[in-house]
Amino acid sequence: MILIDEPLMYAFVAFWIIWIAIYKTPPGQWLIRLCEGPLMTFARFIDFHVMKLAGFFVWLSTNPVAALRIKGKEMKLKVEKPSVTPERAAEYERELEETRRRQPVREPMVRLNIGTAMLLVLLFIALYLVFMFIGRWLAP
Amino acid sequence: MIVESISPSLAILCPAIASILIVLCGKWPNIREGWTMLASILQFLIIFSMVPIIVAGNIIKCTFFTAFPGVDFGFSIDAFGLIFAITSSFLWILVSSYSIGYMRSLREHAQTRYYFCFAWAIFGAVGVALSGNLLTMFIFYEILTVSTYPLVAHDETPEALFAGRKYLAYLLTSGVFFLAAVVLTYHLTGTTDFVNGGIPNLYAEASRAVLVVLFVIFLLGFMKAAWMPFHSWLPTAMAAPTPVSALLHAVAVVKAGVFGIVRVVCYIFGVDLMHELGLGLVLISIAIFTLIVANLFALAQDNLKKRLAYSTINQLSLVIFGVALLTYDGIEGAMMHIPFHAFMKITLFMCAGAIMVASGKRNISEMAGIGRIMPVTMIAFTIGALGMCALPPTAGYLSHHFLVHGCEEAGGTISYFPYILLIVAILDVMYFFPIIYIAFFKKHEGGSKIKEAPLFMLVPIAITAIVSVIFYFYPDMFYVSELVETAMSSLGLEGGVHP
Repeated sequence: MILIDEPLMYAFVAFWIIWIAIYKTPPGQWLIRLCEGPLMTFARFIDFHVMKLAGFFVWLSTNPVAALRIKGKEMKLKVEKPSVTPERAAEYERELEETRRRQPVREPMVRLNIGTAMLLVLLFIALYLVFMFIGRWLAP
Repeated sequence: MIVESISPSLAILCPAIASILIVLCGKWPNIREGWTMLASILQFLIIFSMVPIIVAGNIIKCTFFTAFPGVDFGFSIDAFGLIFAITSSFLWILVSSYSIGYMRSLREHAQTRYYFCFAWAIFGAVGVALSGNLLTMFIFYEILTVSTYPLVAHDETPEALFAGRKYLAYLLTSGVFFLAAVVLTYHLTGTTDFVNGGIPNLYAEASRAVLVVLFVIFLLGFMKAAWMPFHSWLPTAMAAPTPVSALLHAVAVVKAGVFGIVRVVCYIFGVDLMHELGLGLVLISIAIFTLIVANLFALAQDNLKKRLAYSTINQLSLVIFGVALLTYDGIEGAMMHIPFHAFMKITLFMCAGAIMVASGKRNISEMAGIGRIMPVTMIAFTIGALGMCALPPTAGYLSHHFLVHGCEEAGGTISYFPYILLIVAILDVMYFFPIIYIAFFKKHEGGSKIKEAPLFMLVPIAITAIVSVIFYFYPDMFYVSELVETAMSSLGLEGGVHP
C-alpha cells in the first residue's frame, strides 16, 4: 500500500541526489543559517530559565520554611513598595535583609560524595530486593 | 488472567547483583566485563521467557509490599511494558560488547565506576518498563536519573561536569513534577495503578480544569522525553562517552520518558478521557513543534553526536505524535516506534563512536571519505539514516506507515498531518544525506592510518543495522508486532489498518 506522502518523499530524495550531483553542495543553505541564528537564541533563553527553576528548587530544599518566608516577604515588598513612602520601603528592605541573615542559607548537614551516597542507596535497594526474593522463594 | 511470578524480580536482580560483582572484580577487567556480559544475557533471557505468558493475554504480577492503601510497590508486566524491557535488555548485551571495545581502545579512566553505573541504569530502565503503577515507576525513574549522572560526567572535564549538572537539574526538576502528579492522581482516585483504558473513576473524581492541570504536570514530569522547549539537557549530555549516549540517550533514558507519556495517555487518562478533554490536540501541537524545530536545530550542528541528539529529540516526538492521535494505528505506530527507533538510533550512535575511536573525528565536516576507509561502519550508518528518514527497507518506514494511517483514521484536519510528517522526513534527509555524501563521495584528506574500529565494536553495529532491516521484512522479530497487537487489544480500541 502506497502512503499519500510517499511519492513526494521519493521525489524529494531524487531531487536531493540530482542537486548534489550538479552543484556538489547540499541544498537549503539558507535554512541552516536561520537555524544557527534566531532558533539557537530561543533555545538559550529557555535553557536559562529552566536552570533558574532548578536552582530555585535547590535553594528551597536547603531550608523550605525560611525560603518560603523570604519569598513571602519579597512578594509583599514588591506589592507594597509603589504605595508606601520611600522610608517605609527602605524599612521593608532592611527587614527582608535581616530575615535573610537570620535564617541559615543551608541547614547543617553531613556531606557525602555523590558517588558514595548513590552507592549506598543502590546497595540498600539491592539488598532489599535480595531479601524479598529469598522471602518469596522460601514462602510456602 | 493474572499470573504471579518472581521472574520480574529475577530480571531486575541481574544488573543489581552484577553491579556488586563489577565493583568486587574491579581490578580484573576481563572478569569485571564478563559479569556485565553474563548479567545482560541472563536478564534478556529472563525477560524474554515472559513473552509466551504475555502474548496469551495474561499479566504477570509481582508485589513486594503495600506502600499506601491501594498502592502496591511491585511489578505488573503487560505487553507494552515488555516491549520496552526486551528492547533495553537486548541492547544492553550489544552495548556491553561495544563498551569493552570503546573503553579499552580509548584507555578510559574509572572503567569500574562506568560499568557499575551502567548496570544500575539498566536496573532503572527495566524497572520503569516493568512497573505496575506510577509510584513504582517514579522510584525506578529516579534511580535511572541518579545512576546516569556519573556516566554523563564520566570524563570529569569542566564540560562533562557542566553537562552532568545540567542533566541533573533538568531531570530532578522533572522528577519533582512527576512526584506531584503521582500524589495528585492518588489523591483524586485512591490508586496509581496502570489500568487498560485509563483509571475508571478519574473523570468522576475531578473537574476538567484539575484534569488538564494534572496532565500538564505529568508532561513536565516526563522531561526525559526531551520534548521542546525542555530538551536542551539531551544535546548537552552528549559529553558522555559514546556507549552511554548510545544506550542511555537513544534507548533507556529518553525512551523511559516517552514510555511514561504513553502510559499516562493510555493507562492513566485513557483514550476516551483524552478525547473528552481535548488533550490529544495539546500533545499533537507539542509533538509537531518539537518534530520540526528539533530537525531545524539538527541542521545547524556540525558535531555528529549533537546532530544525532537532535534527531533523537525529533524521533521521540514521533512517538508522542502517534499516541496523541488517539487512534488505533497512531498508538500502534507509537508503540512500534519505541523498539524500532532504539535499534536504528543505537546503530547511528555506535557508528559515531566507532568513527571517533578509529579516526578521532567528531565533526561531520572532517569526515570526508571516511566511508571508503570504514565501509562497514558507514554502511551501517546509512541503514540507520534511511530508517530515520522513514525510507525502506528499514524499520523506520514501518512505524511511519502506521503513523500516517493513524492520521487518516483520526479524520478531519488531522488527516492532512501526513504532510507534516513528510516535511519532517524531508528535513531528516537534509541533515542525514550530507553525512553519507561526505563519507562516501568526498575525497579523504589526511593520513591513511585510519582503519575500521575493533571487532568488539563492529559486531554490535552490524547486528543492530541488520536487525533494523529485518524488522522491515519481519516485524514480529522479538515478538514486537505480536506484543503491540496484544497491548492494543487490551486497550479495547477499535479499528486499525494493517499494511
